[in-house]
Amino acid sequence: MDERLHREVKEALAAWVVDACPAEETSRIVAHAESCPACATEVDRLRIVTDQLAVAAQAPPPPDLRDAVLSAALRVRTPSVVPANAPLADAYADQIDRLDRVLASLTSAQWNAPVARHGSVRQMVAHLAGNDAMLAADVGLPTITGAQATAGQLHRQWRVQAQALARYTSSREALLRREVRLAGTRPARGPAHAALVQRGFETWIHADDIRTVTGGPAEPPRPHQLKLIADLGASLLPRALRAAGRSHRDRTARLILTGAASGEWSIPLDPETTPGPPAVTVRADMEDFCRLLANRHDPRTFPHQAEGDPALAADLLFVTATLGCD
Amino acid sequence: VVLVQMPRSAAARDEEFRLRLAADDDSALHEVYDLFSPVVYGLAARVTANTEAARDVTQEVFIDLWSRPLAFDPKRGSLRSWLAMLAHRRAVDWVRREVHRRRLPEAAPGFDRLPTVEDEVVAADVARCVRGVVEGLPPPLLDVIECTYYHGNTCRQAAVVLGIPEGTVKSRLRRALACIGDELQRKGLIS
Repeated sequence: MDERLHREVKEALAAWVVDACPAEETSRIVAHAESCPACATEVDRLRIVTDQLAVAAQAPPPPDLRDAVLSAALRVRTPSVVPANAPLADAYADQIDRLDRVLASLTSAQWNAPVARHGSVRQMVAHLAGNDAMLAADVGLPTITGAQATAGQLHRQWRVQAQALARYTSSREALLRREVRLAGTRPARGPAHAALVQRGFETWIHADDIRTVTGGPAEPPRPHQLKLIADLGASLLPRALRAAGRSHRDRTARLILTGAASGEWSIPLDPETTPGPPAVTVRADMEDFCRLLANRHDPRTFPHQAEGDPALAADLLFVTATLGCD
Repeated sequence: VVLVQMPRSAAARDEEFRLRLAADDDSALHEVYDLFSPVVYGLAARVTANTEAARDVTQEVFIDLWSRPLAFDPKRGSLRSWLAMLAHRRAVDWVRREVHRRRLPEAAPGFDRLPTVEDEVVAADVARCVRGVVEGLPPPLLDVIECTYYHGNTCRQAAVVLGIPEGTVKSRLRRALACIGDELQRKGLIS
Protein backbone atom coordinates (compact mmCIF):
# COMPACT_ATOMS: atom_id res chain seq x y z
CA MET A 1 0.00 0.00 0.00
CA ASP A 2 1.16 3.52 -0.75
CA GLU A 3 1.83 4.84 2.76
CA ARG A 4 1.79 8.49 1.76
CA LEU A 5 -1.51 8.15 -0.07
CA HIS A 6 -2.96 6.27 2.91
CA ARG A 7 -1.92 9.05 5.31
CA GLU A 8 -3.32 11.72 3.03
CA VAL A 9 -6.63 9.92 2.60
CA LYS A 10 -6.91 9.17 6.29
CA GLU A 11 -6.54 12.86 7.06
CA ALA A 12 -9.12 13.81 4.43
CA LEU A 13 -11.80 11.28 5.48
CA ALA A 14 -13.52 13.65 7.91
CA ALA A 15 -13.76 16.29 5.19
CA TRP A 16 -15.02 13.69 2.75
CA VAL A 17 -17.85 12.36 4.92
CA VAL A 18 -19.19 15.92 5.31
CA ASP A 19 -18.99 16.28 1.49
CA ALA A 20 -16.46 19.11 1.78
CA CYS A 21 -13.87 17.73 -0.65
CA PRO A 22 -13.63 18.89 -4.25
CA ALA A 23 -14.65 16.28 -6.84
CA GLU A 24 -11.12 15.40 -7.94
CA GLU A 25 -10.09 14.59 -4.36
CA THR A 26 -13.29 12.63 -3.77
CA SER A 27 -12.55 10.07 -6.46
CA ARG A 28 -9.06 9.47 -5.04
CA ILE A 29 -10.49 8.97 -1.55
CA VAL A 30 -13.24 6.61 -2.73
CA ALA A 31 -10.73 4.52 -4.70
CA HIS A 32 -8.43 4.17 -1.71
CA ALA A 33 -11.11 3.62 0.93
CA GLU A 34 -12.57 0.75 -1.12
CA SER A 35 -9.34 -1.20 -0.95
CA CYS A 36 -8.15 -0.16 2.51
CA PRO A 37 -9.96 -1.92 5.38
CA ALA A 38 -8.64 0.55 7.97
CA CYS A 39 -9.99 3.55 6.06
CA ALA A 40 -13.28 1.75 5.31
CA THR A 41 -13.73 1.11 9.02
CA GLU A 42 -12.97 4.73 9.79
CA VAL A 43 -15.54 5.84 7.20
CA ASP A 44 -18.22 3.62 8.79
CA ARG A 45 -17.36 5.12 12.17
CA LEU A 46 -17.48 8.71 10.91
CA ARG A 47 -20.80 8.03 9.16
CA ILE A 48 -22.32 7.13 12.50
CA VAL A 49 -21.44 10.63 13.67
CA THR A 50 -22.69 12.38 10.52
CA ASP A 51 -25.89 10.34 10.81
CA GLN A 52 -26.39 11.97 14.21
CA LEU A 53 -25.64 15.40 12.73
CA ALA A 54 -28.45 14.71 10.25
CA VAL A 55 -30.79 13.67 13.05
CA ALA A 56 -30.03 16.95 14.81
CA ALA A 57 -31.35 18.81 11.75
CA GLN A 58 -34.59 16.84 11.45
CA ALA A 59 -37.73 18.82 10.79
CA PRO A 60 -41.22 17.77 9.74
CA PRO A 61 -41.62 17.82 5.96
CA PRO A 62 -44.61 19.67 4.52
CA PRO A 63 -47.61 17.29 4.68
CA ASP A 64 -48.29 17.44 0.92
CA LEU A 65 -44.77 16.24 0.16
CA ARG A 66 -45.61 12.64 1.10
CA ASP A 67 -48.05 12.04 -1.77
CA ALA A 68 -45.84 13.95 -4.19
CA VAL A 69 -42.82 11.80 -3.39
CA LEU A 70 -44.65 8.49 -3.35
CA SER A 71 -46.49 9.05 -6.61
CA ALA A 72 -43.31 10.28 -8.30
CA ALA A 73 -41.55 7.13 -7.11
CA LEU A 74 -44.29 4.89 -8.51
CA ARG A 75 -44.04 6.67 -11.86
CA VAL A 76 -40.33 5.82 -11.96
CA ARG A 77 -40.83 2.14 -11.07
CA THR A 78 -44.35 0.80 -11.15
CA PRO A 79 -44.88 -2.48 -9.34
CA SER A 80 -47.04 -4.85 -11.28
CA VAL A 81 -50.45 -5.03 -9.67
CA VAL A 82 -51.60 -8.12 -11.52
CA PRO A 83 -49.41 -11.16 -10.98
CA ALA A 84 -48.17 -12.85 -14.15
CA ASN A 85 -49.66 -16.02 -12.73
CA ALA A 86 -52.54 -15.21 -10.39
CA PRO A 87 -53.51 -18.79 -9.35
CA LEU A 88 -49.92 -19.51 -8.40
CA ALA A 89 -49.56 -16.23 -6.49
CA ASP A 90 -52.90 -16.75 -4.71
CA ALA A 91 -52.09 -20.30 -3.67
CA TYR A 92 -48.81 -19.32 -2.05
CA ALA A 93 -50.16 -16.12 -0.49
CA ASP A 94 -53.07 -18.10 0.97
CA GLN A 95 -50.71 -20.59 2.64
CA ILE A 96 -48.50 -17.78 3.97
CA ASP A 97 -51.57 -16.21 5.61
CA ARG A 98 -52.62 -19.53 7.10
CA LEU A 99 -49.21 -20.43 8.52
CA ASP A 100 -48.86 -16.86 9.80
CA ARG A 101 -52.05 -17.32 11.83
CA VAL A 102 -50.93 -20.71 13.09
CA LEU A 103 -47.56 -19.33 14.22
CA ALA A 104 -49.15 -16.29 15.85
CA SER A 105 -51.26 -18.61 18.00
CA LEU A 106 -48.35 -20.72 19.30
CA THR A 107 -47.29 -20.66 22.94
CA SER A 108 -43.58 -20.83 23.68
CA ALA A 109 -44.02 -24.45 24.78
CA GLN A 110 -45.59 -25.21 21.39
CA TRP A 111 -42.72 -23.49 19.54
CA ASN A 112 -40.39 -25.94 21.26
CA ALA A 113 -42.67 -28.96 20.87
CA PRO A 114 -41.09 -31.89 19.05
CA VAL A 115 -42.08 -32.62 15.45
CA ALA A 116 -41.03 -35.50 13.26
CA ARG A 117 -38.00 -34.90 10.98
CA HIS A 118 -37.12 -31.42 12.28
CA GLY A 119 -36.61 -31.61 16.02
CA SER A 120 -38.97 -28.86 17.07
CA VAL A 121 -41.59 -26.57 15.56
CA ARG A 122 -39.06 -23.79 15.70
CA GLN A 123 -36.41 -25.77 13.85
CA MET A 124 -39.00 -26.72 11.25
CA VAL A 125 -39.91 -23.06 10.63
CA ALA A 126 -36.19 -22.25 10.34
CA HIS A 127 -35.89 -25.08 7.79
CA LEU A 128 -38.85 -23.68 5.84
CA ALA A 129 -37.36 -20.16 5.90
CA GLY A 130 -34.06 -21.65 4.72
CA ASN A 131 -35.73 -23.29 1.70
CA ASP A 132 -37.53 -20.00 0.96
CA ALA A 133 -34.18 -18.17 1.17
CA MET A 134 -32.69 -20.54 -1.41
CA LEU A 135 -35.33 -19.50 -3.95
CA ALA A 136 -35.02 -15.82 -2.92
CA ALA A 137 -31.29 -15.98 -3.66
CA ASP A 138 -31.89 -17.70 -7.02
CA VAL A 139 -34.36 -15.06 -8.21
CA GLY A 140 -32.03 -12.25 -7.14
CA LEU A 141 -33.73 -11.05 -3.98
CA PRO A 142 -31.62 -10.13 -0.96
CA THR A 143 -31.90 -12.56 1.94
CA ILE A 144 -32.42 -11.45 5.51
CA THR A 145 -29.43 -12.44 7.59
CA GLY A 146 -30.87 -10.90 10.72
CA ALA A 147 -31.67 -12.16 14.14
CA GLN A 148 -33.51 -15.39 14.77
CA ALA A 149 -32.86 -15.16 18.47
CA THR A 150 -36.50 -15.43 19.43
CA ALA A 151 -39.41 -17.35 17.98
CA GLY A 152 -41.09 -14.02 17.25
CA GLN A 153 -38.13 -12.83 15.19
CA LEU A 154 -38.03 -16.11 13.29
CA HIS A 155 -41.76 -15.92 12.62
CA ARG A 156 -41.45 -12.37 11.34
CA GLN A 157 -38.40 -13.08 9.24
CA TRP A 158 -40.06 -16.08 7.60
CA ARG A 159 -43.21 -14.06 6.85
CA VAL A 160 -41.50 -10.97 5.40
CA GLN A 161 -39.29 -13.14 3.23
CA ALA A 162 -42.12 -15.39 2.03
CA GLN A 163 -44.37 -12.44 1.20
CA ALA A 164 -41.58 -10.71 -0.73
CA LEU A 165 -40.84 -13.94 -2.57
CA ALA A 166 -44.49 -14.49 -3.51
CA ARG A 167 -45.00 -10.90 -4.64
CA TYR A 168 -41.78 -10.59 -6.61
CA THR A 169 -41.58 -13.95 -8.33
CA SER A 170 -45.21 -14.36 -9.28
CA SER A 171 -45.33 -10.91 -10.90
CA ARG A 172 -42.61 -11.63 -13.46
CA GLU A 173 -43.34 -13.85 -16.43
CA ALA A 174 -39.68 -14.20 -17.42
CA LEU A 175 -38.62 -14.97 -13.87
CA LEU A 176 -41.16 -17.79 -13.58
CA ARG A 177 -39.36 -19.55 -16.42
CA ARG A 178 -35.86 -19.07 -15.01
CA GLU A 179 -34.15 -22.26 -13.85
CA VAL A 180 -33.59 -22.34 -10.09
CA ARG A 181 -32.75 -24.87 -7.39
CA LEU A 182 -35.71 -26.89 -6.14
CA ALA A 183 -36.07 -27.90 -2.52
CA GLY A 184 -35.89 -31.57 -1.68
CA THR A 185 -33.78 -34.36 -0.36
CA ARG A 186 -31.94 -34.68 -3.67
CA PRO A 187 -30.40 -31.74 -5.57
CA ALA A 188 -32.80 -30.82 -8.37
CA ARG A 189 -33.46 -27.87 -10.60
CA GLY A 190 -36.53 -26.58 -12.33
CA PRO A 191 -38.30 -23.40 -13.41
CA ALA A 192 -39.07 -20.82 -10.71
CA HIS A 193 -42.73 -21.59 -11.43
CA ALA A 194 -42.21 -25.11 -10.05
CA ALA A 195 -40.21 -23.74 -7.11
CA LEU A 196 -43.07 -21.41 -6.24
CA VAL A 197 -45.57 -24.29 -6.34
CA GLN A 198 -43.18 -26.08 -3.98
CA ARG A 199 -43.02 -23.10 -1.62
CA GLY A 200 -46.80 -23.06 -1.27
CA PHE A 201 -46.84 -26.84 -0.93
CA GLU A 202 -44.17 -26.96 1.77
CA THR A 203 -45.77 -24.06 3.65
CA TRP A 204 -49.09 -25.95 3.70
CA ILE A 205 -47.51 -29.22 4.84
CA HIS A 206 -45.57 -27.60 7.67
CA ALA A 207 -48.64 -25.65 8.80
CA ASP A 208 -50.42 -29.02 8.97
CA ASP A 209 -47.47 -30.52 10.88
CA ILE A 210 -47.89 -27.75 13.45
CA ARG A 211 -51.67 -28.22 13.58
CA THR A 212 -50.97 -31.84 14.46
CA VAL A 213 -48.81 -30.66 17.37
CA THR A 214 -51.42 -28.23 18.63
CA GLY A 215 -54.28 -30.68 18.18
CA GLY A 216 -55.97 -28.72 15.43
CA PRO A 217 -57.61 -30.40 12.43
CA ALA A 218 -55.66 -30.76 9.18
CA GLU A 219 -56.55 -28.08 6.63
CA PRO A 220 -56.61 -28.97 2.96
CA PRO A 221 -55.51 -26.23 0.56
CA ARG A 222 -57.89 -24.77 -1.97
CA PRO A 223 -58.61 -27.11 -4.88
CA HIS A 224 -56.59 -25.11 -7.39
CA GLN A 225 -53.49 -25.40 -5.18
CA LEU A 226 -53.97 -29.18 -4.95
CA LYS A 227 -54.04 -29.26 -8.74
CA LEU A 228 -50.82 -27.23 -8.99
CA ILE A 229 -49.09 -29.59 -6.55
CA ALA A 230 -50.30 -32.74 -8.31
CA ASP A 231 -49.19 -31.30 -11.68
CA LEU A 232 -45.75 -30.62 -10.27
CA GLY A 233 -45.51 -34.12 -8.78
CA ALA A 234 -46.57 -35.76 -12.04
CA SER A 235 -43.97 -33.77 -13.98
CA LEU A 236 -41.16 -34.73 -11.59
CA LEU A 237 -41.99 -38.45 -11.48
CA PRO A 238 -40.24 -39.78 -14.64
CA ARG A 239 -36.81 -38.42 -13.61
CA ALA A 240 -37.33 -39.34 -9.97
CA LEU A 241 -38.17 -42.93 -10.94
CA ARG A 242 -34.91 -43.11 -12.85
CA ALA A 243 -32.95 -41.56 -9.96
CA ALA A 244 -34.47 -44.09 -7.55
CA GLY A 245 -33.63 -47.02 -9.84
CA ARG A 246 -37.32 -47.83 -10.28
CA SER A 247 -37.92 -46.61 -13.81
CA HIS A 248 -39.53 -48.82 -16.47
CA ARG A 249 -38.77 -48.27 -20.12
CA ASP A 250 -41.72 -48.13 -22.51
CA ARG A 251 -44.21 -48.27 -19.67
CA THR A 252 -46.78 -45.61 -18.94
CA ALA A 253 -48.96 -45.16 -15.87
CA ARG A 254 -52.28 -43.41 -15.89
CA LEU A 255 -52.93 -41.41 -12.75
CA ILE A 256 -56.52 -40.40 -12.00
CA LEU A 257 -57.03 -38.16 -9.01
CA THR A 258 -60.45 -37.11 -7.76
CA GLY A 259 -61.97 -35.37 -4.75
CA ALA A 260 -61.89 -31.61 -4.07
CA ALA A 261 -60.05 -31.26 -7.37
CA SER A 262 -59.58 -33.78 -10.12
CA GLY A 263 -57.22 -34.48 -12.96
CA GLU A 264 -55.67 -37.19 -15.11
CA TRP A 265 -52.05 -37.66 -16.10
CA SER A 266 -50.21 -40.02 -18.41
CA ILE A 267 -46.89 -40.57 -16.71
CA PRO A 268 -44.06 -42.26 -18.60
CA LEU A 269 -42.23 -44.46 -16.11
CA ASP A 270 -38.85 -43.48 -17.53
CA PRO A 271 -37.65 -40.03 -18.62
CA GLU A 272 -36.88 -41.26 -22.15
CA THR A 273 -40.20 -42.99 -22.68
CA THR A 274 -42.92 -41.25 -24.65
CA PRO A 275 -46.32 -41.76 -23.04
CA GLY A 276 -48.21 -44.71 -24.50
CA PRO A 277 -51.22 -46.81 -23.51
CA PRO A 278 -51.20 -47.31 -19.74
CA ALA A 279 -49.67 -50.46 -18.28
CA VAL A 280 -51.31 -49.52 -15.00
CA THR A 281 -54.03 -47.10 -13.91
CA VAL A 282 -53.84 -45.67 -10.39
CA ARG A 283 -56.86 -43.95 -8.83
CA ALA A 284 -56.66 -41.98 -5.59
CA ASP A 285 -57.92 -38.90 -3.81
CA MET A 286 -56.02 -35.78 -4.89
CA GLU A 287 -55.51 -34.44 -1.38
CA ASP A 288 -54.24 -37.84 -0.24
CA PHE A 289 -51.91 -37.95 -3.22
CA CYS A 290 -50.50 -34.51 -2.34
CA ARG A 291 -49.85 -35.70 1.22
CA LEU A 292 -48.12 -38.77 -0.20
CA LEU A 293 -45.93 -36.40 -2.25
CA ALA A 294 -44.96 -34.76 1.05
CA ASN A 295 -44.18 -38.19 2.52
CA ARG A 296 -47.00 -37.73 5.04
CA HIS A 297 -48.48 -41.06 3.92
CA ASP A 298 -46.82 -44.45 3.95
CA PRO A 299 -46.73 -45.53 0.27
CA ARG A 300 -47.31 -49.17 1.33
CA THR A 301 -50.63 -48.37 2.98
CA PHE A 302 -51.64 -45.54 0.68
CA PRO A 303 -55.37 -45.73 -0.15
CA HIS A 304 -55.68 -46.24 -3.90
CA GLN A 305 -56.98 -48.57 -6.58
CA ALA A 306 -54.66 -49.96 -9.21
CA GLU A 307 -55.68 -51.71 -12.43
CA GLY A 308 -52.89 -53.40 -14.32
CA ASP A 309 -49.37 -54.25 -13.17
CA PRO A 310 -49.36 -53.83 -9.35
CA ALA A 311 -45.52 -53.69 -9.25
CA LEU A 312 -45.58 -50.59 -11.44
CA ALA A 313 -48.15 -48.97 -9.16
CA ALA A 314 -46.01 -49.77 -6.12
CA ASP A 315 -42.93 -48.18 -7.71
CA LEU A 316 -44.92 -45.12 -8.73
CA LEU A 317 -46.27 -44.62 -5.21
CA PHE A 318 -42.94 -45.36 -3.56
CA VAL A 319 -41.13 -42.73 -5.64
CA THR A 320 -43.99 -40.23 -5.24
CA ALA A 321 -43.30 -40.27 -1.49
CA THR A 322 -39.68 -39.16 -2.09
CA LEU A 323 -40.57 -35.91 -3.83
CA GLY A 324 -41.32 -33.76 -0.78
CA CYS A 325 -39.27 -30.87 0.50
CA ASP A 326 -37.93 -32.30 3.73
CA VAL B 1 -16.34 -4.52 10.08
CA VAL B 2 -19.30 -3.34 12.09
CA LEU B 3 -18.03 -1.12 14.84
CA VAL B 4 -21.29 0.02 16.20
CA GLN B 5 -24.07 -2.48 16.57
CA MET B 6 -27.50 -1.06 16.07
CA PRO B 7 -30.19 -2.54 18.25
CA ARG B 8 -30.89 -5.90 16.63
CA SER B 9 -34.43 -4.92 15.82
CA ALA B 10 -33.35 -1.79 13.89
CA ALA B 11 -30.79 -3.76 11.88
CA ALA B 12 -33.34 -6.49 11.13
CA ARG B 13 -35.92 -3.86 10.22
CA ASP B 14 -33.50 -2.23 7.74
CA GLU B 15 -32.86 -5.62 6.11
CA GLU B 16 -36.59 -6.22 5.87
CA PHE B 17 -37.10 -2.84 4.22
CA ARG B 18 -34.38 -3.61 1.69
CA LEU B 19 -35.95 -6.96 0.82
CA ARG B 20 -39.47 -5.55 0.56
CA LEU B 21 -38.35 -2.61 -1.57
CA ALA B 22 -36.47 -5.00 -3.87
CA ALA B 23 -39.67 -7.06 -4.12
CA ASP B 24 -41.69 -4.05 -5.41
CA ASP B 25 -43.54 -3.61 -2.11
CA ASP B 26 -44.51 0.06 -2.24
CA SER B 27 -46.00 -0.10 1.25
CA ALA B 28 -42.39 -0.49 2.43
CA LEU B 29 -41.57 2.81 0.72
CA HIS B 30 -44.45 4.46 2.58
CA GLU B 31 -43.11 3.16 5.87
CA VAL B 32 -39.55 4.23 5.11
CA TYR B 33 -40.81 7.68 4.14
CA ASP B 34 -42.80 8.05 7.34
CA LEU B 35 -39.83 7.01 9.46
CA PHE B 36 -37.04 8.94 7.80
CA SER B 37 -38.49 11.87 5.83
CA PRO B 38 -38.00 14.25 8.81
CA VAL B 39 -34.26 13.56 8.78
CA VAL B 40 -34.00 13.72 4.98
CA TYR B 41 -36.13 16.83 4.61
CA GLY B 42 -34.80 18.56 7.72
CA LEU B 43 -31.21 18.06 6.65
CA ALA B 44 -31.91 19.18 3.08
CA ALA B 45 -33.76 22.26 4.34
CA ARG B 46 -30.94 23.08 6.69
CA VAL B 47 -28.19 22.77 4.06
CA THR B 48 -30.04 24.46 1.20
CA ALA B 49 -31.96 26.98 3.32
CA ASN B 50 -34.57 26.72 0.57
CA THR B 51 -37.85 24.85 0.98
CA GLU B 52 -38.28 24.16 -2.75
CA ALA B 53 -34.80 22.71 -2.95
CA ALA B 54 -35.43 20.67 0.19
CA ARG B 55 -38.58 19.21 -1.38
CA ASP B 56 -36.68 18.30 -4.54
CA VAL B 57 -33.85 16.70 -2.60
CA THR B 58 -36.31 14.69 -0.49
CA GLN B 59 -38.09 13.45 -3.59
CA GLU B 60 -34.85 12.50 -5.31
CA VAL B 61 -33.57 10.61 -2.26
CA PHE B 62 -36.66 8.43 -1.91
CA ILE B 63 -36.89 7.82 -5.66
CA ASP B 64 -33.25 6.79 -5.58
CA LEU B 65 -33.94 4.31 -2.78
CA TRP B 66 -36.99 2.91 -4.57
CA SER B 67 -35.10 2.60 -7.87
CA ARG B 68 -31.98 0.99 -6.40
CA PRO B 69 -32.77 -0.56 -3.01
CA LEU B 70 -29.82 -2.93 -3.24
CA ALA B 71 -27.38 -0.01 -3.34
CA PHE B 72 -28.04 0.27 0.38
CA ASP B 73 -25.71 -2.16 2.16
CA PRO B 74 -26.98 -2.93 5.67
CA LYS B 75 -23.53 -4.19 6.64
CA ARG B 76 -22.07 -0.71 6.24
CA GLY B 77 -24.53 1.23 8.37
CA SER B 78 -28.17 1.97 9.01
CA LEU B 79 -30.80 2.84 6.42
CA ARG B 80 -31.25 6.24 8.06
CA SER B 81 -27.54 6.92 7.75
CA TRP B 82 -27.66 5.89 4.06
CA LEU B 83 -30.60 8.20 3.34
CA ALA B 84 -28.97 11.05 5.26
CA MET B 85 -25.83 10.60 3.19
CA LEU B 86 -27.80 10.68 -0.07
CA ALA B 87 -29.71 13.75 1.11
CA HIS B 88 -26.56 15.56 2.18
CA ARG B 89 -24.78 14.94 -1.13
CA ARG B 90 -27.72 16.16 -3.14
CA ALA B 91 -28.26 19.20 -0.92
CA VAL B 92 -24.59 20.14 -1.13
CA ASP B 93 -24.69 19.72 -4.92
CA TRP B 94 -27.67 22.07 -5.03
CA VAL B 95 -25.85 24.67 -2.93
CA ARG B 96 -22.81 24.52 -5.18
CA ARG B 97 -24.86 24.76 -8.38
CA GLU B 98 -26.74 27.70 -6.90
CA VAL B 99 -23.52 29.50 -5.99
CA HIS B 100 -22.30 28.91 -9.50
CA ARG B 101 -25.56 30.03 -11.09
CA ARG B 102 -25.64 33.28 -9.21
CA ARG B 103 -21.98 33.77 -9.99
CA LEU B 104 -21.38 34.51 -6.38
CA PRO B 105 -17.83 34.65 -5.22
CA GLU B 106 -16.78 31.29 -3.87
CA ALA B 107 -16.89 32.32 -0.26
CA ALA B 108 -20.23 34.10 -0.41
CA PRO B 109 -22.56 31.69 1.38
CA GLY B 110 -22.28 32.77 4.93
CA PHE B 111 -23.62 30.82 7.84
CA ASP B 112 -25.60 31.37 10.95
CA ARG B 113 -23.60 30.93 14.02
CA LEU B 114 -26.12 28.66 15.69
CA PRO B 115 -28.89 26.47 14.36
CA THR B 116 -32.28 28.06 14.66
CA VAL B 117 -33.51 25.55 17.15
CA GLU B 118 -36.49 27.65 18.15
CA ASP B 119 -37.89 27.63 14.63
CA GLU B 120 -38.03 23.90 14.46
CA VAL B 121 -41.09 22.14 15.60
CA VAL B 122 -39.43 18.80 16.03
CA ALA B 123 -38.55 18.18 19.61
CA ALA B 124 -37.38 14.61 19.38
CA ASP B 125 -35.25 13.96 22.45
CA VAL B 126 -32.41 12.49 20.46
CA ALA B 127 -32.31 15.37 18.01
CA ARG B 128 -32.28 17.86 20.88
CA CYS B 129 -29.58 15.97 22.65
CA VAL B 130 -27.35 15.81 19.56
CA ARG B 131 -27.92 19.51 19.00
CA GLY B 132 -26.79 20.11 22.54
CA VAL B 133 -23.64 18.14 21.89
CA VAL B 134 -22.88 20.02 18.66
CA GLU B 135 -23.55 23.40 20.21
CA GLY B 136 -21.38 22.46 23.16
CA LEU B 137 -18.32 22.11 20.92
CA PRO B 138 -15.57 24.66 21.38
CA PRO B 139 -16.44 27.55 18.99
CA PRO B 140 -13.59 26.90 16.52
CA LEU B 141 -14.81 23.33 16.05
CA LEU B 142 -18.47 24.29 15.92
CA ASP B 143 -17.65 26.83 13.21
CA VAL B 144 -16.15 24.28 10.85
CA ILE B 145 -19.07 21.83 11.32
CA GLU B 146 -21.60 24.58 10.71
CA CYS B 147 -19.75 25.99 7.75
CA THR B 148 -19.15 22.66 5.99
CA TYR B 149 -21.74 20.04 6.98
CA TYR B 150 -24.70 22.33 7.61
CA HIS B 151 -23.99 24.89 4.88
CA GLY B 152 -22.47 22.84 2.12
CA ASN B 153 -19.14 24.65 1.84
CA THR B 154 -16.01 22.85 0.74
CA CYS B 155 -12.97 23.02 2.98
CA ARG B 156 -11.51 25.65 0.67
CA GLN B 157 -14.62 27.82 0.87
CA ALA B 158 -14.78 27.33 4.63
CA ALA B 159 -11.16 28.47 4.91
CA VAL B 160 -12.07 31.74 3.19
CA VAL B 161 -15.25 32.25 5.22
CA LEU B 162 -13.54 31.52 8.51
CA GLY B 163 -10.25 33.20 7.65
CA ILE B 164 -8.15 30.19 8.52
CA PRO B 165 -5.90 27.92 6.41
CA GLU B 166 -7.55 25.02 4.58
CA GLY B 167 -5.38 22.52 6.44
CA THR B 168 -6.72 23.91 9.70
CA VAL B 169 -10.30 23.42 8.48
CA LYS B 170 -9.53 19.77 7.78
CA SER B 171 -7.85 19.13 11.11
CA ARG B 172 -10.62 20.89 13.02
CA LEU B 173 -13.19 18.81 11.16
CA ARG B 174 -11.42 15.66 12.29
CA ARG B 175 -11.33 16.87 15.86
CA ALA B 176 -14.93 18.07 15.76
CA LEU B 177 -16.27 14.71 14.51
CA ALA B 178 -14.12 12.84 17.04
CA CYS B 179 -15.37 15.09 19.89
CA ILE B 180 -19.00 14.65 18.86
CA GLY B 181 -18.51 10.89 18.55
CA ASP B 182 -16.94 10.66 22.00
CA GLU B 183 -19.62 12.79 23.58
CA LEU B 184 -22.49 10.87 21.92
CA GLN B 185 -20.89 7.66 23.08
CA ARG B 186 -20.58 9.00 26.61
CA LYS B 187 -24.28 9.88 26.54
CA GLY B 188 -25.05 6.41 25.24
CA LEU B 189 -26.57 7.69 21.98
CA ILE B 190 -24.16 5.58 19.95
CA SER B 191 -22.29 2.57 21.20
